Amino acid sequence: MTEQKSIEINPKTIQSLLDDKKAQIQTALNVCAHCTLCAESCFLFMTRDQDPKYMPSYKFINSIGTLYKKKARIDLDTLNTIKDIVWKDCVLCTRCYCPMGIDIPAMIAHARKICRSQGVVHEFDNA
Amino acid sequence: MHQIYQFVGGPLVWFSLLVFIAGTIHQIHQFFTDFSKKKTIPQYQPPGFKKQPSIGWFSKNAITTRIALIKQWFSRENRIRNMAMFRATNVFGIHPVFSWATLIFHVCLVITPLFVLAHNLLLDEALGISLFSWSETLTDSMTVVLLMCGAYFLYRRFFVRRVRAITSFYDYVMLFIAVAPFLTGFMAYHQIYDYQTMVILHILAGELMLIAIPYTKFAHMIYFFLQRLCVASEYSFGKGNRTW
Repeated sequence: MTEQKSIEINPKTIQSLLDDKKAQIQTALNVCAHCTLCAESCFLFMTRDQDPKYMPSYKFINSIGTLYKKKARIDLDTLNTIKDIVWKDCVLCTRCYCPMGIDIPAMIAHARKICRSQGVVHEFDNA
Repeated sequence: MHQIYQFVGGPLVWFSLLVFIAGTIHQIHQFFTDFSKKKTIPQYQPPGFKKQPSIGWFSKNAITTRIALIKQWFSRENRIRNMAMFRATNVFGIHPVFSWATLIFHVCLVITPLFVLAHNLLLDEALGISLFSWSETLTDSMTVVLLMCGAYFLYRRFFVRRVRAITSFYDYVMLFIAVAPFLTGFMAYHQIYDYQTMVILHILAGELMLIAIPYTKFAHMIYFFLQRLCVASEYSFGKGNRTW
């Protein structure tokens, strides 16, 4: 395998990408009542011993939520954990169902976009 | 003490009401302007495609078809399947306790303050108009039910694994703000602690909640209806679109 080249984080791109969907992200984080009713709609949650880390709300709060809260002050470790959440724990099947009507897949897709812009990408060969 | 009561029960009430109404209007305005800035993708139309004339919602044919469908849906053969589907797909089937607790909690939360006798007396004194009021036993028991539902939510936040995973300190604060007016009101009504302090705390808690609604997690009061209305073909009038 080729060695991973050193990655430098560019806060400006993250900021501009977050600003693109600022209103949606803000509302999604605001409206989520942390009711956990979305859990059953995720097949990964149901098949993996109902592990809370596969809950749709957990996934979007800990990916786009941390990105939004930390803004540009994000480091590589956090981005890597977000990468794992966004690529390994979610397959973007868009079947998650939020009682409040939050578009969770859009949030996770946007988090993927931000990760991709920083070169932090899931390597399918190594998985 | 009396001066504090005068201030808290006078200008502060109007201020919090103003913040609540203005914030609500602002949020609704934002929802329909900022969020709908979305490129619309032109729908694919096959060559030679002609739009069919609509049958009409209230034509005789449409109505008879609909009645037949409803009859079939509730027929004896379908009943068992319907029940299984309800248990497997409906929120009230999957989480019966939590769903009913939420429903009762929210209904009590909105309705109880409107029909309490003391509130209506104050309204009558201030404006000369008031809603009809329910008996004090009824509103009192509604408060108790609400407090019990709140306790159930707290229990869930503490002990259910999946809820713990996404719970932060903010959630506890929000739950407390939601329940505090009812707790203090209950204590004031039953004169459990010093009545004067309790009433002032009660008014303050109510105002805090009103101010908190538009700009915190309580915004789901406004956005629940707006967002549900935009989910395609679900609880929406006509064609729904995801605009957020």
